[in-house]
Amino acid sequence: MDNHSSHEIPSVGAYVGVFGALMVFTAITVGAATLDLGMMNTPIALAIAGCKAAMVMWIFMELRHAPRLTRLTAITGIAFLAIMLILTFGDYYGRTLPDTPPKAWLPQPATAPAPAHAPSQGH
Amino acid sequence: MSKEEGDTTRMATHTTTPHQPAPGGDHGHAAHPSGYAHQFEDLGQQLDSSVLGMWIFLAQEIMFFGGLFAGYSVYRWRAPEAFAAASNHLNVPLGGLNTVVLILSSLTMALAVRAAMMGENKQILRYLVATLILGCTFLGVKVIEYADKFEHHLVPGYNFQWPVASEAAGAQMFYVFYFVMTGMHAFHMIIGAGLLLYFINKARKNTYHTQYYGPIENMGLYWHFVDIVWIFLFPLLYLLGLHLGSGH
Repeated sequence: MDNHSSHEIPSVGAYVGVFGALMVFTAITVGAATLDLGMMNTPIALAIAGCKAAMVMWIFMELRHAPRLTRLTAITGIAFLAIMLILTFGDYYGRTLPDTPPKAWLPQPATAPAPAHAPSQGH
Repeated sequence: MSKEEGDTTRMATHTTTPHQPAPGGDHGHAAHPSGYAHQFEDLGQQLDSSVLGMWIFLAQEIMFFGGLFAGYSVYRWRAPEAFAAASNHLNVPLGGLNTVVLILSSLTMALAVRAAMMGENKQILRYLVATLILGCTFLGVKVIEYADKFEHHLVPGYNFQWPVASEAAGAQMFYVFYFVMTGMHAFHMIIGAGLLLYFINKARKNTYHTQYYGPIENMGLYWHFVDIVWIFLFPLLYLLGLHLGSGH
Protein backbone atom coordinates (compact mmCIF):
# COMPACT_ATOMS: atom_id res chain seq x y z
CA MET A 1 0.00 0.00 0.00
CA ASP A 2 1.39 3.41 -0.89
CA ASN A 3 1.34 6.49 1.28
CA HIS A 4 -1.68 8.12 -0.27
CA SER A 5 -5.30 7.12 -0.17
CA SER A 6 -6.54 5.31 -3.22
CA HIS A 7 -9.33 7.04 -5.06
CA GLU A 8 -10.73 3.91 -6.67
CA ILE A 9 -14.45 3.50 -6.15
CA PRO A 10 -15.00 0.50 -3.84
CA SER A 11 -17.46 -2.14 -5.00
CA VAL A 12 -20.94 -2.35 -3.50
CA GLY A 13 -20.44 -6.11 -3.14
CA ALA A 14 -17.76 -5.71 -0.45
CA TYR A 15 -20.05 -3.54 1.65
CA VAL A 16 -23.08 -5.81 1.28
CA GLY A 17 -20.87 -8.83 2.04
CA VAL A 18 -19.60 -7.25 5.26
CA PHE A 19 -23.18 -6.39 6.23
CA GLY A 20 -24.19 -10.04 5.75
CA ALA A 21 -21.20 -11.26 7.77
CA LEU A 22 -22.03 -8.81 10.58
CA MET A 23 -25.61 -10.15 10.67
CA VAL A 24 -24.36 -13.74 10.86
CA PHE A 25 -21.91 -12.83 13.65
CA THR A 26 -24.69 -11.06 15.58
CA ALA A 27 -26.80 -14.23 15.38
CA ILE A 28 -23.82 -16.31 16.58
CA THR A 29 -23.28 -13.93 19.53
CA VAL A 30 -26.90 -14.28 20.66
CA GLY A 31 -26.81 -18.05 20.11
CA ALA A 32 -23.57 -18.50 22.08
CA ALA A 33 -24.95 -16.36 24.93
CA THR A 34 -27.86 -18.79 25.45
CA LEU A 35 -25.37 -21.59 26.29
CA ASP A 36 -23.81 -21.83 29.74
CA LEU A 37 -20.11 -21.95 28.89
CA GLY A 38 -18.95 -20.94 32.36
CA MET A 39 -15.91 -18.68 32.25
CA MET A 40 -15.88 -18.71 28.44
CA ASN A 41 -19.15 -16.84 27.76
CA THR A 42 -17.64 -13.37 27.90
CA PRO A 43 -14.34 -14.15 26.09
CA ILE A 44 -16.32 -15.70 23.22
CA ALA A 45 -18.68 -12.71 23.07
CA LEU A 46 -15.73 -10.30 23.06
CA ALA A 47 -13.90 -12.30 20.39
CA ILE A 48 -16.94 -12.17 18.10
CA ALA A 49 -17.41 -8.44 18.80
CA GLY A 50 -13.70 -7.90 18.06
CA CYS A 51 -14.06 -9.65 14.68
CA LYS A 52 -17.11 -7.51 13.88
CA ALA A 53 -15.27 -4.32 14.85
CA ALA A 54 -12.28 -5.35 12.70
CA MET A 55 -14.57 -5.90 9.70
CA VAL A 56 -16.21 -2.50 10.18
CA MET A 57 -12.83 -0.77 10.49
CA TRP A 58 -11.21 -2.57 7.55
CA ILE A 59 -14.07 -2.40 5.01
CA PHE A 60 -16.66 0.20 6.10
CA MET A 61 -14.07 2.64 7.46
CA GLU A 62 -11.84 1.87 4.46
CA LEU A 63 -8.60 1.26 6.34
CA ARG A 64 -7.87 -1.22 3.53
CA HIS A 65 -7.43 1.74 1.15
CA ALA A 66 -6.05 4.19 3.72
CA PRO A 67 -2.50 5.56 3.82
CA ARG A 68 -0.10 3.94 6.28
CA LEU A 69 -0.13 6.94 8.60
CA THR A 70 -3.93 6.70 8.95
CA ARG A 71 -3.73 2.97 9.70
CA LEU A 72 -1.05 3.60 12.31
CA THR A 73 -3.25 6.23 13.97
CA ALA A 74 -6.18 3.81 14.08
CA ILE A 75 -4.00 1.16 15.73
CA THR A 76 -2.62 3.71 18.20
CA GLY A 77 -6.07 4.27 19.69
CA ILE A 78 -6.53 0.54 20.24
CA ALA A 79 -2.99 0.15 21.62
CA PHE A 80 -3.51 2.85 24.25
CA LEU A 81 -6.86 1.30 25.15
CA ALA A 82 -5.06 -2.02 25.69
CA ILE A 83 -2.48 -0.35 27.94
CA MET A 84 -5.22 1.27 30.02
CA LEU A 85 -7.21 -1.95 30.40
CA ILE A 86 -4.20 -4.16 31.16
CA LEU A 87 -2.83 -1.82 33.83
CA THR A 88 -6.28 -1.29 35.39
CA PHE A 89 -7.13 -5.00 35.55
CA GLY A 90 -3.62 -5.93 36.68
CA ASP A 91 -4.00 -3.51 39.57
CA TYR A 92 -7.47 -4.65 40.66
CA TYR A 93 -7.00 -8.39 40.18
CA GLY A 94 -3.68 -8.22 42.04
CA ARG A 95 -5.30 -6.76 45.16
CA THR A 96 -6.78 -8.57 48.09
CA LEU A 97 -10.31 -7.22 48.42
CA PRO A 98 -13.11 -8.18 50.82
CA ASP A 99 -14.99 -11.30 49.72
CA THR A 100 -18.37 -9.68 49.41
CA PRO A 101 -19.09 -6.60 47.32
CA PRO A 102 -19.54 -3.53 49.48
CA LYS A 103 -23.08 -2.42 50.25
CA ALA A 104 -22.18 1.24 50.09
CA TRP A 105 -21.46 1.66 46.37
CA LEU A 106 -24.62 3.68 46.00
CA PRO A 107 -27.52 4.88 48.15
CA GLN A 108 -29.02 1.76 49.64
CA PRO A 109 -31.73 0.64 47.21
CA ALA A 110 -35.15 -0.30 48.49
CA THR A 111 -35.85 -4.03 48.49
CA ALA A 112 -39.64 -3.72 48.82
CA PRO A 113 -42.04 -1.57 46.83
CA ALA A 114 -42.31 1.89 48.30
CA PRO A 115 -45.74 3.00 49.55
CA ALA A 116 -47.77 4.61 46.80
CA HIS A 117 -48.09 7.86 48.71
CA ALA A 118 -45.26 8.60 51.06
CA PRO A 119 -46.34 10.66 54.05
CA SER A 120 -45.47 14.27 53.38
CA GLN A 121 -43.31 16.26 55.74
CA GLY A 122 -46.13 18.67 56.55
CA HIS A 123 -45.75 22.39 56.69
CA MET B 1 -10.42 41.33 -10.74
CA SER B 2 -13.26 42.55 -8.58
CA LYS B 3 -14.77 40.29 -5.95
CA GLU B 4 -18.04 40.01 -7.84
CA GLU B 5 -16.32 38.84 -10.98
CA GLY B 6 -14.32 36.32 -8.99
CA ASP B 7 -17.43 34.83 -7.41
CA THR B 8 -19.18 34.58 -10.74
CA THR B 9 -16.26 32.74 -12.27
CA ARG B 10 -16.06 30.46 -9.25
CA MET B 11 -19.68 29.54 -9.61
CA ALA B 12 -19.07 28.75 -13.22
CA THR B 13 -16.38 26.23 -12.28
CA HIS B 14 -18.96 24.36 -10.20
CA THR B 15 -20.70 23.26 -13.33
CA THR B 16 -17.56 22.15 -15.12
CA THR B 17 -15.21 19.31 -14.33
CA PRO B 18 -13.11 20.16 -11.28
CA HIS B 19 -9.44 20.54 -11.97
CA GLN B 20 -6.15 21.12 -10.18
CA PRO B 21 -5.10 24.69 -9.22
CA ALA B 22 -3.85 26.39 -12.32
CA PRO B 23 -0.20 27.51 -12.27
CA GLY B 24 0.55 31.16 -12.79
CA GLY B 25 -0.10 32.74 -9.41
CA ASP B 26 -3.76 33.60 -9.78
CA HIS B 27 -4.73 33.95 -6.16
CA GLY B 28 -8.46 34.28 -6.77
CA HIS B 29 -10.82 31.41 -6.19
CA ALA B 30 -11.47 31.06 -9.88
CA ALA B 31 -8.54 28.78 -10.56
CA HIS B 32 -9.13 25.94 -8.17
CA PRO B 33 -11.97 23.43 -7.67
CA SER B 34 -14.65 24.04 -5.06
CA GLY B 35 -14.00 22.75 -1.56
CA TYR B 36 -10.26 23.41 -1.76
CA ALA B 37 -8.70 25.11 1.28
CA HIS B 38 -5.59 27.19 0.54
CA GLN B 39 -3.34 25.78 3.26
CA PHE B 40 -3.17 22.41 1.49
CA GLU B 41 -1.04 21.44 -1.49
CA ASP B 42 -4.02 20.00 -3.34
CA LEU B 43 -7.34 18.30 -2.68
CA GLY B 44 -5.66 14.90 -2.31
CA GLN B 45 -3.51 16.11 0.55
CA GLN B 46 -6.50 17.93 2.02
CA LEU B 47 -8.51 14.68 2.03
CA ASP B 48 -5.71 12.62 3.61
CA SER B 49 -5.17 15.29 6.29
CA SER B 50 -8.82 15.55 7.25
CA VAL B 51 -9.23 11.77 7.44
CA LEU B 52 -6.08 11.52 9.59
CA GLY B 53 -7.48 14.21 11.90
CA MET B 54 -10.75 12.30 12.20
CA TRP B 55 -8.90 9.13 13.19
CA ILE B 56 -6.98 11.04 15.88
CA PHE B 57 -10.35 12.26 17.22
CA LEU B 58 -11.66 8.69 17.14
CA ALA B 59 -8.58 7.48 19.08
CA GLN B 60 -9.59 9.93 21.79
CA GLU B 61 -13.17 8.60 21.60
CA ILE B 62 -11.86 5.06 22.04
CA MET B 63 -10.17 6.16 25.28
CA PHE B 64 -13.38 7.86 26.45
CA PHE B 65 -15.57 4.80 25.97
CA GLY B 66 -12.66 2.58 27.06
CA GLY B 67 -12.74 4.19 30.50
CA LEU B 68 -16.43 3.29 30.82
CA PHE B 69 -15.73 -0.29 29.73
CA ALA B 70 -12.89 -0.53 32.29
CA GLY B 71 -15.17 0.67 35.10
CA TYR B 72 -17.87 -1.75 33.99
CA SER B 73 -15.39 -4.65 34.04
CA VAL B 74 -14.08 -3.89 37.53
CA TYR B 75 -17.57 -3.64 39.08
CA ARG B 76 -18.77 -6.70 37.21
CA TRP B 77 -15.79 -8.62 38.55
CA ARG B 78 -16.82 -7.58 42.09
CA ALA B 79 -20.46 -8.61 41.64
CA PRO B 80 -20.75 -11.13 38.78
CA GLU B 81 -24.04 -12.79 39.86
CA ALA B 82 -25.80 -9.48 40.44
CA PHE B 83 -24.63 -8.18 37.05
CA ALA B 84 -25.90 -11.31 35.24
CA ALA B 85 -29.24 -11.17 37.07
CA ALA B 86 -29.62 -7.44 36.36
CA SER B 87 -28.71 -7.95 32.69
CA ASN B 88 -31.54 -10.48 32.46
CA HIS B 89 -34.06 -7.66 32.81
CA LEU B 90 -32.91 -5.99 29.59
CA ASN B 91 -34.98 -6.66 26.49
CA VAL B 92 -32.81 -8.85 24.23
CA PRO B 93 -35.17 -8.77 21.20
CA LEU B 94 -35.23 -4.96 21.23
CA GLY B 95 -31.44 -4.80 21.76
CA GLY B 96 -30.98 -7.27 18.91
CA LEU B 97 -33.32 -5.27 16.68
CA ASN B 98 -31.29 -2.15 17.40
CA THR B 99 -28.07 -4.02 16.55
CA VAL B 100 -29.51 -4.92 13.14
CA VAL B 101 -30.81 -1.37 12.60
CA LEU B 102 -27.45 0.17 13.47
CA ILE B 103 -25.41 -2.20 11.29
CA LEU B 104 -27.84 -1.56 8.42
CA SER B 105 -27.32 2.19 8.94
CA SER B 106 -23.55 1.61 8.70
CA LEU B 107 -24.15 -0.07 5.33
CA THR B 108 -26.17 2.88 4.03
CA MET B 109 -23.52 5.26 5.41
CA ALA B 110 -20.74 3.35 3.60
CA LEU B 111 -22.80 3.53 0.40
CA ALA B 112 -23.24 7.29 0.91
CA VAL B 113 -19.44 7.69 1.10
CA ARG B 114 -19.11 5.58 -2.04
CA ALA B 115 -21.64 7.83 -3.80
CA ALA B 116 -19.64 10.86 -2.60
CA MET B 117 -16.45 9.42 -4.13
CA MET B 118 -18.33 9.23 -7.43
CA GLY B 119 -19.64 12.77 -7.01
CA GLU B 120 -23.26 11.60 -7.20
CA ASN B 121 -24.99 14.11 -4.95
CA LYS B 122 -28.46 12.63 -5.51
CA GLN B 123 -27.23 9.22 -4.34
CA ILE B 124 -25.45 10.78 -1.34
CA LEU B 125 -28.71 12.46 -0.42
CA ARG B 126 -30.69 9.23 -0.67
CA TYR B 127 -28.25 7.16 1.41
CA LEU B 128 -27.78 9.87 4.05
CA VAL B 129 -31.55 10.14 4.48
CA ALA B 130 -31.75 6.34 4.85
CA THR B 131 -28.97 6.49 7.47
CA LEU B 132 -30.79 9.25 9.33
CA ILE B 133 -34.08 7.30 9.36
CA LEU B 134 -32.31 4.19 10.68
CA GLY B 135 -30.49 6.25 13.32
CA CYS B 136 -33.78 7.77 14.50
CA THR B 137 -35.32 4.27 14.57
CA PHE B 138 -32.52 3.19 16.89
CA LEU B 139 -33.14 6.15 19.19
CA GLY B 140 -36.90 5.50 19.16
CA VAL B 141 -36.37 1.89 20.29
CA LYS B 142 -34.03 3.19 22.98
CA VAL B 143 -36.80 5.49 24.26
CA ILE B 144 -39.14 2.47 24.57
CA GLU B 145 -36.46 0.57 26.51
CA TYR B 146 -35.66 3.47 28.86
CA ALA B 147 -39.37 4.03 29.58
CA ASP B 148 -39.69 0.36 30.53
CA LYS B 149 -36.78 0.69 32.99
CA PHE B 150 -38.39 3.73 34.63
CA GLU B 151 -41.66 1.81 34.93
CA HIS B 152 -39.98 -1.17 36.62
CA HIS B 153 -37.93 0.87 39.13
CA LEU B 154 -34.65 -0.12 37.50
CA VAL B 155 -33.27 3.41 37.26
CA PRO B 156 -30.47 3.94 39.82
CA GLY B 157 -31.36 6.24 42.67
CA TYR B 158 -33.75 6.26 45.59
CA ASN B 159 -36.55 4.61 43.61
CA PHE B 160 -34.42 1.65 42.54
CA GLN B 161 -35.97 -1.64 43.64
CA TRP B 162 -34.45 -5.09 43.53
CA PRO B 163 -36.12 -8.22 44.96
CA VAL B 164 -32.92 -9.90 46.21
CA ALA B 165 -31.33 -7.80 48.96
CA SER B 166 -27.84 -9.35 48.62
CA GLU B 167 -27.75 -8.47 44.91
CA ALA B 168 -29.24 -5.00 45.19
CA ALA B 169 -25.99 -3.00 45.30
CA GLY B 170 -24.48 -4.89 42.34
CA ALA B 171 -27.69 -4.79 40.31
CA GLN B 172 -28.01 -1.06 40.83
CA MET B 173 -24.39 -0.58 39.74
CA PHE B 174 -25.13 -2.58 36.59
CA TYR B 175 -27.91 -0.13 35.76
CA VAL B 176 -25.60 2.82 36.43
CA PHE B 177 -23.31 1.48 33.71
CA TYR B 178 -26.26 0.57 31.49
CA PHE B 179 -27.62 4.11 31.56
CA VAL B 180 -24.29 5.92 31.35
CA MET B 181 -22.89 3.76 28.53
CA THR B 182 -26.04 3.52 26.41
CA GLY B 183 -26.79 7.16 27.26
CA MET B 184 -23.38 8.37 26.03
CA HIS B 185 -23.81 6.14 22.99
CA ALA B 186 -27.26 7.62 22.29
CA PHE B 187 -25.81 11.12 22.78
CA HIS B 188 -23.27 10.34 20.05
CA MET B 189 -26.13 9.12 17.84
CA ILE B 190 -28.04 12.38 18.38
CA ILE B 191 -24.96 14.40 17.42
CA GLY B 192 -24.53 12.12 14.41
CA ALA B 193 -28.14 12.72 13.38
CA GLY B 194 -27.56 16.48 13.57
CA LEU B 195 -24.44 16.15 11.40
CA LEU B 196 -26.38 14.01 8.92
CA LEU B 197 -28.98 16.78 8.57
CA TYR B 198 -26.18 19.25 7.84
CA PHE B 199 -24.63 17.02 5.17
CA ILE B 200 -28.05 16.18 3.67
CA ASN B 201 -28.52 19.90 3.11
CA LYS B 202 -25.02 20.19 1.61
CA ALA B 203 -25.60 17.27 -0.74
CA ARG B 204 -28.91 18.81 -1.79
CA LYS B 205 -26.87 21.81 -2.94
CA ASN B 206 -24.55 19.56 -5.00
CA THR B 207 -21.53 20.45 -2.87
CA TYR B 208 -19.52 17.30 -3.45
CA HIS B 209 -17.57 16.10 -6.45
CA THR B 210 -15.06 13.37 -7.28
CA GLN B 211 -12.16 15.29 -5.74
CA TYR B 212 -14.00 16.84 -2.81
CA TYR B 213 -15.86 14.39 -0.59
CA GLY B 214 -13.76 14.43 2.61
CA PRO B 215 -16.56 15.71 4.90
CA ILE B 216 -18.84 12.81 3.91
CA GLU B 217 -15.98 10.34 4.43
CA ASN B 218 -15.37 11.76 7.93
CA MET B 219 -19.09 11.66 8.70
CA GLY B 220 -18.93 7.98 7.78
CA LEU B 221 -15.92 7.34 10.05
CA TYR B 222 -17.79 8.89 13.00
CA TRP B 223 -20.96 6.90 12.27
CA HIS B 224 -19.08 3.59 11.95
CA PHE B 225 -17.24 4.28 15.22
CA VAL B 226 -20.57 4.72 17.03
CA ASP B 227 -21.67 1.43 15.45
CA ILE B 228 -18.53 -0.31 16.79
CA VAL B 229 -19.25 0.96 20.32
CA TRP B 230 -22.71 -0.62 20.12
CA ILE B 231 -21.22 -3.88 18.79
CA PHE B 232 -19.40 -4.15 22.16
CA LEU B 233 -22.23 -2.76 24.30
CA PHE B 234 -24.80 -5.26 23.05
CA PRO B 235 -23.15 -8.48 24.31
CA LEU B 236 -21.67 -6.88 27.44
CA LEU B 237 -24.97 -5.36 28.62
CA TYR B 238 -27.79 -7.44 27.11
CA LEU B 239 -26.45 -10.99 26.85
CA LEU B 240 -24.79 -11.52 30.25
CA GLY B 241 -27.61 -13.44 31.87
CA LEU B 242 -29.15 -15.04 28.80
CA HIS B 243 -27.87 -18.53 29.67
CA LEU B 244 -29.58 -18.27 33.08
CA GLY B 245 -32.98 -18.46 31.42
CA SER B 246 -35.51 -15.84 30.47
CA GLY B 247 -36.08 -13.15 33.02
CA HIS B 248 -37.89 -10.54 31.03
